Amino acid sequence: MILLFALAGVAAPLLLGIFAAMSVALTLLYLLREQHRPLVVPFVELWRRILEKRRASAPWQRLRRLLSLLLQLTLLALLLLALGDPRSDAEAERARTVVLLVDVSPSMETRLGGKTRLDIAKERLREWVDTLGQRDRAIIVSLSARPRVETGLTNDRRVLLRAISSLSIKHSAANLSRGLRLAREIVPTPANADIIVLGDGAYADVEAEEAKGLPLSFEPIAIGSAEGPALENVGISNFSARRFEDEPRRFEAQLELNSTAKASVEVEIVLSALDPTFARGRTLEVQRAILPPAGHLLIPLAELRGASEGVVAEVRRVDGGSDFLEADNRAQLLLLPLPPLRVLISGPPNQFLDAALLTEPDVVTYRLGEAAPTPEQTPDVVIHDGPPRPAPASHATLYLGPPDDGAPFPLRLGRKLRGFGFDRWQKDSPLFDAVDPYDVQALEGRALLPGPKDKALAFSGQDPIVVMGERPEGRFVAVGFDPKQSDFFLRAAWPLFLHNTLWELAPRVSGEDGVALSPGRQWHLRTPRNDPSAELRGPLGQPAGKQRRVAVTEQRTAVFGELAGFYEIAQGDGSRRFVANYFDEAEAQLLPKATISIESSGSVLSRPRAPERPNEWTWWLVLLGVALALSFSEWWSYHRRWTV
Amino acid sequence: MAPSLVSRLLGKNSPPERTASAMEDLFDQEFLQKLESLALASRRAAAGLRRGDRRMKKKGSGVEFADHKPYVAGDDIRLLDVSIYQRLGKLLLRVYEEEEDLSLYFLIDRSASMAHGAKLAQAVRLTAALGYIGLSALDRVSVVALGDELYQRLPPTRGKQRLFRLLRFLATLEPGGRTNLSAALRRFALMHPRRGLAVLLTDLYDPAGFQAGIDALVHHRFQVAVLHIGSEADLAPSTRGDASLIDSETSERAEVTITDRKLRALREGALEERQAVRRFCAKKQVAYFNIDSGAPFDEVVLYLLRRGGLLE
Repeated sequence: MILLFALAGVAAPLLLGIFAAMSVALTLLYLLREQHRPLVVPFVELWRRILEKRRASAPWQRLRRLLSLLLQLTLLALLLLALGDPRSDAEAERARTVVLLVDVSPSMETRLGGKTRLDIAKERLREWVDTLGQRDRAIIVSLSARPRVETGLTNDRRVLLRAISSLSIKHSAANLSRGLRLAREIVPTPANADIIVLGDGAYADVEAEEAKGLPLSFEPIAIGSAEGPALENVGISNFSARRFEDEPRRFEAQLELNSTAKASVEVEIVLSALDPTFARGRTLEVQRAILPPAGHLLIPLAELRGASEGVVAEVRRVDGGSDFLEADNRAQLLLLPLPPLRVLISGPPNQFLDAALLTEPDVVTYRLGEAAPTPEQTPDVVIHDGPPRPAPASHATLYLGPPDDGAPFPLRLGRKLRGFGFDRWQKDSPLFDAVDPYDVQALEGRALLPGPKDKALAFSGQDPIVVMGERPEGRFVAVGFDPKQSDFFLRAAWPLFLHNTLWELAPRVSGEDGVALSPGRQWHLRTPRNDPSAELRGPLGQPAGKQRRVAVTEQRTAVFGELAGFYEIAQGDGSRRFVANYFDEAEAQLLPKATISIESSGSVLSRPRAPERPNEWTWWLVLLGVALALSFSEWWSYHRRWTV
Repeated sequence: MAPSLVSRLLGKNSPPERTASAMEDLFDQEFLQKLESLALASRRAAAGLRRGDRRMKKKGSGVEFADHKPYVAGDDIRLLDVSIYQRLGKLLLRVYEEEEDLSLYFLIDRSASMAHGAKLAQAVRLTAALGYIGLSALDRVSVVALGDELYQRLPPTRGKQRLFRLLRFLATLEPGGRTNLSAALRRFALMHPRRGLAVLLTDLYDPAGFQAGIDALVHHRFQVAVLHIGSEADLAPSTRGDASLIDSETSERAEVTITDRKLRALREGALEERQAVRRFCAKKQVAYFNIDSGAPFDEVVLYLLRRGGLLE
């Protein structure tokens, strides 16, 4: 039987090994079964007399016992052979290898008649799986920027169907060339092999060299009409933001829309701010715009008032036209928050100063002698309210008033001033932006003598009274009079002057400003710490979001991004967030089509033949049936004492 | 729980606890009530009840004429039948039946094989019932437990008031040992010169054969009754398949595959053997009764009384 049949299930050597081991075990058990059960009877002699009459049949008894053992071994052989799934050689020769390349690019998300193209592709895939013969094997590869093997080469329908059900859209264009290279590695020889591409045909032409010798065919999935509104696309081609240079805590954003329609398209743009979990949002702004035919439109968003860390822009047509690529209708923006400005106040309590600082939402203040909000960090700005006293090192210092004699001060002092005011000031200086200190009158003060690189920003007569400069210990702004000895606190210019001065002295912000990554590429990410691994979470707030551990080398990691959205990479209690947006103008330009052309040859890929299930004989079922029948007859005969 | 009738009757001189418990198991109140009714039944069956009413066929100096015998020298001339001599001129002596009380011997096989199928329990119950009837009729009742030799013995006793002595003795019997009926019965016959009715209660499972023992009893002029107690369980084991049979008395082993067919053959063989025993007993003029261990003892006793003629 082995000569006529090949085993498709468990390998023959393994089956032979199992048979040998189990045969020995079975024979031993059979011998053990001959160990008679003890039975106490009142008078053995009576039984013996009966046995004497039947002793003549003992050889036949032994033969029957041997027959029973042979029956058991035959049963074992049948069951093991059934496990081996024997197939005839003819069936073995007909066995096929089917490579199913499924497009999971965003264009497959296009909804046609209640189903997406991917849903329809899944139905077709299931049909192909259903028609696999017993010896056929299939593999499913999803096509996006990088082809992904969803299953190994298998005949297990459950595995294949499970993989089909789990197929989902990836936010990158399908790279058919890479898919074909992978298929060639899976099927090195074209004999009895099929490579079937299922998709909407929105790919670049296949190079002749790539398709050469491959048993390649293309099954278009619900592409609709080649010329019609169904092939138009409107989407976001860019959504970015940058910080204001003078106020790094504020952003200005820019939204770029793209249209492939031949006529003007009216769209509605909705901006939403997401909550910290990125799951829910609230609308910030709704506006309408008209896109030029087959063109771009740049929409500046000067200030994202009320925006949180996550901002989402969504665009949709309001003119009833079609939009075949839904994935680019949504874009995300990450506005990374900056830590608040830490301001240390040195001086007696001053309600005018405190009141002015209360208007600053991004400022945290504390006084000399109090615990710092973040003890391990130096203050960003120290304000000496009155004569300066020794204070911790800081990035910058604001001196409100001249020092007492001998106290540290970055400037030399000039003559004493009495009854003076702001006669001149640098109107283009950031400190005096929207500030008019002309009415300010001071009782007394000192002229300041600026250094060579210092800037005198305000004067009383010819005497500088406001100077800005930089020393090795940090930048500074010095005012030549104590505001408490003036009416400066009572003027509207005071809080504005303080605001301008603080943010001028605040450290310059550098680093990430929410630049978006692109899915379908390798993402090189910086991690919060230098641990050997990190946890990558995302897309945040979306059902497809998941967590996975990634390896980290020198505080950097590289992962292949598949989906657009917000992400977080965490190590311990530290985390960094980033965003990925799907912008692919090339895919938006690639229209679905019913054929895939082979470059330079002028030919197109053929359609696959209709799925057809081969007529096969299930031998293992037959063997199992025979084994069951034998088992039943053995049981029947055993209980009637034929075999033993 | 209220003490049973047996416990109350045993009174101060009660035997050890174990014996009392065994007695309660064997002879409960219902058993004793049945005994009484059986005794009444036996009285109705035996007419002219009085002391020594059961007769031995021993001729001697009684008052009731039995037969004539020719005179030989040395005979008591007072017994010459004068009327015969006057009429016929022959010297014949008048022979009278000697009236004496009957000796009842219950020979219980207590070998290990009697434990199977509660055969010993049935033998004990039958002995108690028949013994009570004997005691009620003022017969001398004795019980001998047989193993491979004489094992235990209740000396002859008489009178209804001795019932509980009989019951206490029976309650002490426990199965064990081998069967050797020929040796045991031969020794019993030698040890008991007073002849009487010997009731043998046994399963007749004796590797050496039971015939020699019965021959010995008959030879010593005992009136013999064999109560052959059998059990269905002996011939119908619950298990099937390969088995190693172990003899309960000799521990001898025999390997066999138990099948329904073999069990049928076994039952047929056992039936044939019973018929052979019956024929043997008939040939020896020995009363034979085949009794099932599961049969109600009172029905068995009534059967023995009414149809078997055991206690006539």
